[in-house]
Amino acid sequence: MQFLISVIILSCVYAMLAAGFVVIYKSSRILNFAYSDMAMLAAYLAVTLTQLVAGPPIIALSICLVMGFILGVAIYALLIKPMAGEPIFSTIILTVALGIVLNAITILGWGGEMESIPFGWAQYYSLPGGVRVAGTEFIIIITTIIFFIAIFTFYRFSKIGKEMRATAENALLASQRSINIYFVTAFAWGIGFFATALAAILIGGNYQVSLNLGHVSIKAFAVALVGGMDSVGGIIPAAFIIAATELVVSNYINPRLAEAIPFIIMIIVLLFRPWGLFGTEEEIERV
Amino acid sequence: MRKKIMGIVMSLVFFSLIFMGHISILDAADPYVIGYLSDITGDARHNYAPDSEGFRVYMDLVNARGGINGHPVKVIIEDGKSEPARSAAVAKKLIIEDKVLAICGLGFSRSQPPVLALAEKEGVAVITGYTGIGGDIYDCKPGSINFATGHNMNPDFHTSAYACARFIQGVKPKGSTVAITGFATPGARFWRDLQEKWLKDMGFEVVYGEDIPTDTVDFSPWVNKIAKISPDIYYAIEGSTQVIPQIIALEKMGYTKDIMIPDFTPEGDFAKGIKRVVGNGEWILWGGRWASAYEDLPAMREVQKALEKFGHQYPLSARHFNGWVIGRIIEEALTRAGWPCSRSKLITELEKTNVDTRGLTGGPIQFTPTDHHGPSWWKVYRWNAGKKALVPAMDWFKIEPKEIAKKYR
Repeated sequence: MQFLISVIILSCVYAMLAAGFVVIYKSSRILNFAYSDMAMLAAYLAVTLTQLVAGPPIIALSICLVMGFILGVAIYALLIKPMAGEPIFSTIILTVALGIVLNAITILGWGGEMESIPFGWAQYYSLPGGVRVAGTEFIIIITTIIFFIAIFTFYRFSKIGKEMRATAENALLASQRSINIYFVTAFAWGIGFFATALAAILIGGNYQVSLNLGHVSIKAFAVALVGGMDSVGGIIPAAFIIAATELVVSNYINPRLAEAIPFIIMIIVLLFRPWGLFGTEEEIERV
Repeated sequence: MRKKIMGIVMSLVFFSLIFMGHISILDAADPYVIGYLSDITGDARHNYAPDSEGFRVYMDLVNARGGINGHPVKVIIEDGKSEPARSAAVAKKLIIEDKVLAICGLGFSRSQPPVLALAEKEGVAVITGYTGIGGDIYDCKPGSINFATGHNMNPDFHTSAYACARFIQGVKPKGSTVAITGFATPGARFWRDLQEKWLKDMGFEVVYGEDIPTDTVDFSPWVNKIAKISPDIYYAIEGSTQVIPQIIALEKMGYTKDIMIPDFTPEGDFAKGIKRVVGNGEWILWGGRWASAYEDLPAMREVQKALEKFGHQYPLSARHFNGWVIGRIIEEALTRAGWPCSRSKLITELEKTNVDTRGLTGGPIQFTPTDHHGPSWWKVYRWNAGKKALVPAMDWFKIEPKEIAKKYR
């Protein structure tokens, strides 16, 4: 039972991380390789804000999420939008360079210090079956559920959500239907960075903030590919498959192999279903 | 008129340079050049970055006092970034381009083999700071290059593994069950294997042993097992980024039996970690070769004063003491060597080292031509919630590596 709880929590972390990756890809068809560095920067920013802003931590963390959204929009406006019309490969390389810059900023600003993000709920609970759960783990589960309900609702019912889906389907047609595709894509980048910051905060609160945070963020890439790069709904089962397999291997086979598991699953899925378990088949041609 | 203006401008530039410190009377003398290869960034940063700070401020102090034999000490600190290839590259730069007399620091065991090989080829002394995996360090040939002041991981006799087995012997009765995990690095793996062996010899039962990759974030696979086995004591041979989340996760799982960690976790990180513990944290033990900064000895205050004077990033820790004392070792060896000093002359003088650390260790740091490590003293502390400090749980005990190595060889 404790094992199942560990799987659920790790699945939530992976799902949150992959959400940021997929939302950005879905709207702009760009593989954002600055992702893990963005997560690290957001986590350190959250640490500083919780130290600077008085009152309950939720105030500082909300400011951090808003800043994440603004940074996403700014990066799109300043770096990604000017690359419109250029080969997609160039834009992807640009995100790699951006990641290196963000990493350098983080090391320069925070020196890679080990930190943690206080949630103000440092309690442990015993559940039936000898299961132990921390307050921070409840926060991870609840936040993930709320986030995914919100994102599904947003895509399905809001005007801008529908415009995002239309732009993702066919940007040219969407623009001919007077959808401001730049605004829509910028908004998607904002949501993507918001999700990244949220995931980073959850990791920083439950585990810790360190330069190692980038290593776990890399796994978001595997989750996104396994679920389908254009499928927000595919993230949850993909995250569960990867987290469960990883923990089965660490617990019952050999923990040294566990780190490779997300990527082994990714390779297997790419070999047999390159568009991912829940992705769209024609997507593969675009990738 | 133009000449006059030029003259004034040149004079102003010259005096500005003097006041900016670019030209000084001391700098006019050729410096002794010493390299310090640290891991200021990367996975091993938490363990080794404060060492370099301790070394730097000691050398700043030496230079402020007028240098050694009338010559300043130029310290070149390089960041190996916890990457063996980068460490090898910067070591090459230090040895070939900067022509350093010695390389200090170099704590990350993965980075040591390529650097030691190059240093040996070029005859450059290496004083490995916190962890050394040097070969024949206790029974070496005179003139060999490798010296160590910290946890040495010699294949013949691993002082740290033995000392940490003794720590457990000091705080737990015979027959107790022990779990051990370690960094997935050559040094820590070797340490864990030997510590297990010695613990068994001392009458303990090792019920769990495993490596943990250095970049792990989620420790639940290891923690869940340890909590389930519930050993009487758990020893984690890892740095702060590994041990702090494990302590938190183990407490969540209800495991609050003794957890012992080596002094790889600097006191600054320890203090951050203890804040995250829900209970009183008195099940946490911390031990090693250097005294904890929580003891507040006069020698520690001296280091603190130098840190404040010359600038620092990390709170005072045992890691600073290690760097500081390496500075003292270098200073004394260079003083004896005089000017000019060659690499081989420095090695000869390092072999005469006998430094009283004034309580920063349990006894002096001593090297001889055939022993580049010397005897070492070890101490364990336990967190005291009332005093909000690490307090001694087991007093200094001495290890004579040569004698014990014979027994276990």
